[in-house]
This record gives sequence, structure tokens and C-alpha cells, in this order.
Amino acid sequence: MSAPVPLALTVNGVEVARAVAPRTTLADFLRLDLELTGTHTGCEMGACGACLVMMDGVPVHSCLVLAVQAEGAVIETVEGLSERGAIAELQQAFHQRNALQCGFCTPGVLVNAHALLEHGGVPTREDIRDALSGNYCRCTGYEAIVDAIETTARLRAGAEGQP
Amino acid sequence: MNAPVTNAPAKPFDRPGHVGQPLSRPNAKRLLAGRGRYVTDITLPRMLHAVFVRSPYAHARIADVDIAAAQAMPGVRLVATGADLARLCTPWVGTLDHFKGMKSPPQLPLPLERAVWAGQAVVAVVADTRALAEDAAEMVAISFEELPPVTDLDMAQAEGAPRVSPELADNMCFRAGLDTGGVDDIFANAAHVVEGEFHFGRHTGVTLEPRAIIADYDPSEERLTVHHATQTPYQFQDLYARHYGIAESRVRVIAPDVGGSFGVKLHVYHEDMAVVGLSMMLGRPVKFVADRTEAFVSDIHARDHRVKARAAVAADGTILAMDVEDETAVGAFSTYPRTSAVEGNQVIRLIGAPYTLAGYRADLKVLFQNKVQTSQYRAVGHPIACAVTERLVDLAGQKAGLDPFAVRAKNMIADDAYPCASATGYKFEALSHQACLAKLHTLMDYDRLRSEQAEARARGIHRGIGIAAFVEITNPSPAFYGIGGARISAQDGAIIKITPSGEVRCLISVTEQGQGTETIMGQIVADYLGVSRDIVDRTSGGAQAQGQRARRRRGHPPGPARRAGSRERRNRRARHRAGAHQPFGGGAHRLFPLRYAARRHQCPALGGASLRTAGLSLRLHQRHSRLPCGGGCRDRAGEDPQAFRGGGLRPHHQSAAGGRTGARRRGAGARRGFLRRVPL
Ligand code: FES
Ligand code: FES
Repeated sequence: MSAPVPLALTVNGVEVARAVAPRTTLADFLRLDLELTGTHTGCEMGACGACLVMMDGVPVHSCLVLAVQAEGAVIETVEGLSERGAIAELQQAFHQRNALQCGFCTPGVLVNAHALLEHGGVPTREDIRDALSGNYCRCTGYEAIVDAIETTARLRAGAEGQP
Repeated sequence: MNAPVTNAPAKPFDRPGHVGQPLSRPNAKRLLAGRGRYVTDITLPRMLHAVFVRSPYAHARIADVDIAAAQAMPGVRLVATGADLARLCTPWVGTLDHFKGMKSPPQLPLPLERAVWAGQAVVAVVADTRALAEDAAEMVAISFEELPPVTDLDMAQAEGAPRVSPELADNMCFRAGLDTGGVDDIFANAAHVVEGEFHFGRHTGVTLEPRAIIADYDPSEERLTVHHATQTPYQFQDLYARHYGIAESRVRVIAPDVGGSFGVKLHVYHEDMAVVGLSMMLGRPVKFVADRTEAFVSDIHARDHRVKARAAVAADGTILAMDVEDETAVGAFSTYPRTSAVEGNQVIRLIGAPYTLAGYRADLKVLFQNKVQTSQYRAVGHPIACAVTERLVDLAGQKAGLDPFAVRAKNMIADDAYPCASATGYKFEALSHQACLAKLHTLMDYDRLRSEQAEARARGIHRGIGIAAFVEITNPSPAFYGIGGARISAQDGAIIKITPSGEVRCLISVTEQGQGTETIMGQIVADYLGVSRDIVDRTSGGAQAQGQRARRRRGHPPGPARRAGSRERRNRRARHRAGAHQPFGGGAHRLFPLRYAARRHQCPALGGASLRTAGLSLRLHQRHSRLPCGGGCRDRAGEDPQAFRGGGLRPHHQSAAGGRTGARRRGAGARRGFLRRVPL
């Protein structure tokens, strides 16, 4: 095992400096070092999408990124997106449509949906399903999830259309 | 898009009604904010991490284990073998008393002499972090001597086959049969015989949160606290207490948010038992989380079946009898405590369930092999029974020249024939397959679909339409396992407290994995007490020392259980409760603050015998009936299966919607059973 190395990055708007073992994944760094346990690990091999976080504006699998690769990056987790209200409509729509059961996949789904909607416009249901193709949900089936994301996109498009 | 659900809402009571309303789940908001607290998220002070060295062989003798190098690795606190844990933990055997002749070898947390499946944990390593434990695990040297493995059904039964357990006479875990008599005659005289052989591959559940456990043993008080991603904390309280010799009142099992369970997380796993022992050896909390690869080789598997089935059919398409052989290959052990035989048992008992049959015969063989253990997972046995039955029904229809709807309509148990029993002995109160089928026909616009199908076929597009009927076992009560000696639901219950501020605390033993348990309990309690659900605080998933009466398993409402006795007994209990509340409220009449004063005479805590209308009781029983509910479902390639709510996709909602699963008949026997407590 190699000695810890210094790491500085911005997580949920806060500058963070820590020493980490080089083999530490970004997922473990967020969950264990920063106690941001909203990011989940379901497979630790890039298959399930539970660990998605925003890294410099792009959703990434935090289980496949080493923490040291995030040096200088801007990271946002479900906690950060939630606290700054960026996903409030999505959360509301998911709640209304009951688009979750156990909720273990949900943070990854929300991060991914957030990234999709950041592109603007109203994606088709096909587009939404395509965007979610890397998010496994073992509980619900995807229909309600797609509904909730579509509802949010429509809501936002409608709101923008208003004076 | 989904068709609107047309469940008629329960008729409101003379107070705010929650039952029957489509309410949101309050706890979902927490999960949506990333504020869930799963076992994988929990860190305790001075917590250590366990990993396991696993057998790469399906069957091997453990000749030698060298742990010296691993013990010398940084951060390592303990390396333990099977012998170390066997000194603390008594063995367990996965049989149930009512399965006559069933056998299974004793199991220990880690094996002593032989590994019996590829992936079995053999040595445990505990270190300061998981990474350090994994580093050290690589230094454990185990010499295995490979033994011949049993890898399929034929090998398990072959003459002179290797035995999975040398202490057992053969590889047969359990054998059972059903026979109504006269089956050979019916087949001999039938116009047609249709048959098929069906192979079902092993599945596993793949919960998105892998299995996770933290055992925290405090030697100063001889107290064990386990944070466990499980569906059944009370079951584990009992098992950890019994197998580790700790007083049950000093064992607490907490199931917080659980990231999917699907039946996977209610069985005893060797690693989980080991982690309890490791914590006892170290006097510190020890955490184990299976990684995904470990989950695939150590979570239960299910549905490894080979079914040979045939049906005797009259010239007009009447199905006269079915004759079934089910062989199921389980693991090297029968799973504890639910066994590996229930799935096959349900397959042979559910085949043919929706249909009238003059004769039925089945032979079930449950066979050991050197693979990971199998047990109950989502819809135990139902998919196999349904697939086999419906294929036979389709074949019968083809022979007799009947359309798939027509052959089903012809053979279904008539709606007015209930109550009745299936040919396999299941008792049905009131199912409604005919009404269901007719509704399905209309809903799917069957004739239009058939003409579209024909038109598409002409254009070279092949589209299928499938129809299936099934009967689902919904809530079989604690006696289901209790009769066989497994204390699974024996302590289920609910405790309701009314606080001095007039709020309600409801502690429920059943757990929540997102199905809405807490919401449902909140609805029932709020309606029962006549308060808004906003003041009902629900907590689920904890097993600790609390005197709880035996209740029925998940779904049994806290309220109606109290109606089980005579009115006199009910009143006595209610008076007792009123007294018991006094310390909290300074007198029974202070239990509710003024805003509820107008209703206080209806509060059960005040002894009001008129507290419930018969209506609520009946509806709740319907919703949570232990009797099977019927369903019909169709699927068509390229369509949204959730649109077909008429089918059996959501059995609990459906049984409520159908309102046909009866309460009355179930009442006497089942409720007596639960009051009597489960035979332990
Ligand atoms: S944990 Fe990263 S994709 Fe599954
Ligand atoms: S809600 Fe459980 S995995 Fe998606």
C-alpha cells in the first residue's frame, strides 16, 4: 500500500483538502472520508449507476474514478444538488409518482436525470430511457421513473415559456 | 401511459379516513434527499471490517490453513477459521418438522473439513479497514484437495454418485407427493394427452444494496447489537441468541433502511453468523458488506427446476387431470431456517390452481448438489407453477381447437363454486377468475389485438399474445413456518404509544424496504385512533427485548388483530390499555389533547367498544387476507406491462381491488392460531 497523497477539490461548493491513499476510489472518499453517504455503491464495477456524481458538470461513476483523479475537480453529490435546490422538482415528481421503493438506486438516478435535464428541452421517453440505461433499479421497474423525469422536463419547459 | 387505477376508496369513517386513499410515502422524501441510512452507510466507533477467503472449488477437502502471514499484515486484528467459530456457535440444520423425512447436514459459520460450493467462505480476516483486510486475505494460504462435485440433477441421482454430505445416505434432501387417486385411469381414457418438459435456470435476487451486517458485542454487559440489512430482525434476534448462547433480551437486531431484499435477506448466511462470532471474539463492532462478486456466489439462488408435466384433456377441451414431476436442485445444504424445500413444495401445490381438475398427481424431489444454497426469492414457486400450468392449458386448447381465452374460460373454477379446495389441497375462500378473465378480455380489446396481429403477420411481423392465470399465496400467517418449528414471525407485533403531547408513536416489527409498510401502518393506526396521520410517527425494523404477542406476519394490521377475541375480551384488553396509558398522559382523559376531545369516546385506549366499524375490519382483512388471491395477466411484446392493472402484477393492491379474498372463513382458524401463539 502506498503512502497517502494530498488531494484538494471542491465538493458540494466547499473546498476540501485531505490526504488519501492513492487506491481510494472517489466513491469511498465521498462516503467514508466526507461522510456523504447519499452516494451509494451497488457493484463497484461501473455497472449499476448507484454511485453517479457530477464531476465538472458531467455524471461519472464514482466507483470507477480514483479520488486522486478528482484533484482540482468540482464534484456535486445528491446531497449538494438537494441542498441547493437543483433537483427539487425532480424530487417532488419522484415522490408524487412514487418512483422509488428502497431508494438505494435513487441518488444515482436523480444525478443522471439532473444531468439529462441540464441539456434543456423536453427529452422523449426514448431519450430518458436511453439516459437511464446505466442505472439499475431492482425494485420498481422504470415506468414511474421515466414518468417523473418527463413530468419534470415538461414542468420546466412550461415554466420557461411563461412571462 | 398507465390506465387509471379504479380502486374504490374505502368509505370514509366519521373521521379523517386514510385507509383506501392513495397517499404518498412520507419516508420516501428522506431517501430522495440522499438521507437514507442503510447498513452499508453506518460506521460505529472502533468498528473493524471482515472479509472472507473463499473456496475456489465446488467440493474440496480443506487439508491445511496457514494464517501466519495474514496475521502479520498491517491493521489485522484477527484471522479466524471454522474451528475458532465452532467453539462459540452451535450448528444449525435447515429442516422443518412438518416436512417428513427431510434431511440436511449441520452447518457452521465456516467449514471445518470440507468446502461444498465454489464461493463458500472458509477463513475470516478482520482488520482496521476493508482494504487492509482484503490485503491480508490474499496472504491466507489454504491447501485444498479437490473432491468430485455433484453438479446437476442427473448426477445427484445417479447410481453410485458422489455424495454432497458423507453423513447422509444419498443426495435427496426431501421428497413429497400428492395424489388424488384415479389419475392413471383418467389419462388412459382421455381424448388427448398434452405434455412438456420445462427447464428453469438458477436465478439470484441481486438486491442493489448487497448484504450488509455490523455485529457489535459488548462483553461488559454480554449484549449483542446487530445492524442488519434484513427483512426479519426478530427472527435473527432469536437465532443469534440461541446459536451463540446469549440471553434473547440482550440481543438487539436493527434493520434500518434496506436497499432491496426480495427474500434474499431473510435467510441465515454463513458470513453473517461468522461476523457475530468475530465481534464476540474481539469485543468490537465488526462490519461485513458482500461485494457484488461475492453476492453472486453467496446470496441464495432460486428456481433451479426441471418439471415434466402432462395433462389429460377431453375432446371438448375440458382438462381432466394433471400429472407432474418436479425435480429441483438446491445447494449443498438446505437453507436455514426456511429450508430449500418450500419452493418445490409450492410448485407442486400451485400447479393447476385456477382450474377444475378431476385428478392430480405430483412427485417432488429436492436434491443436493455442490452449488450455493437456494431458498425463497420473490414469488416463491409461483412463476414455475404458472409457466407449467399455462403451457399445458395452451397445449390443451390447441388440441381441442379452442382459443386461449376459451380454453381458460372453460376450465377455470367457476366464480360461484367457492369456497372450495384446489386439487392440491389449498383452500380458497372466494376467487373470481371468470370475472377477471372477462374483464381482461375487454380491457385488452382482445378481438382487435387478434386482428392487428393477423394483419402484422401478413407484413412479416410476428407478435405474440399470451394469457396466464394464477393464484397467489398472500399471507400464510406465522403458522406457515411455525408449524415446522421455525420461530420466524412469532414475535411480530406493533406497539402504539400515545404521548403526553397527543401524538402517536407506532413501533412495528415488520420492516420496510420501500413497499410502503410504514405508510400503510400509519394509515391504519391513524384511522383506528381517529387522528391525522401527520401525528403518527412510525418506526419499523427493530427487534429488541419487548414483550410482544405473537401476531401475523407482514401486512397484518395492528388494529384488527385486537378484534380477534370476543367482545368481552376486547373490552377487558381495552380497559387494561387505558390504564396502561395513564403514566404517559396523567389520566386516561388526558390522552388526547382538546382538538381530539370530541372523538375521545371512540379511542380504543378509553375502552370504547364501538371503536371500530365492522367495515374497517372487513376491508382490512380483505386486504391482508392470508388466503390466495387470483389474478389473470397478459403480456404482449412491445407494450407497457404496468398498463394491465387488471392482472396480478400488484397482488396486494389487486386483492384489495377485487375484494374477493375472504375474511370471514379465514377468521376462526387463522386467528385462533395466532392467539394461541405459534407452536415453538
Ligand atoms: S457502484 Fe459504481 S456503477 Fe455500481
Ligand atoms: S428503488 Fe430499490 S433499487 Fe431502485
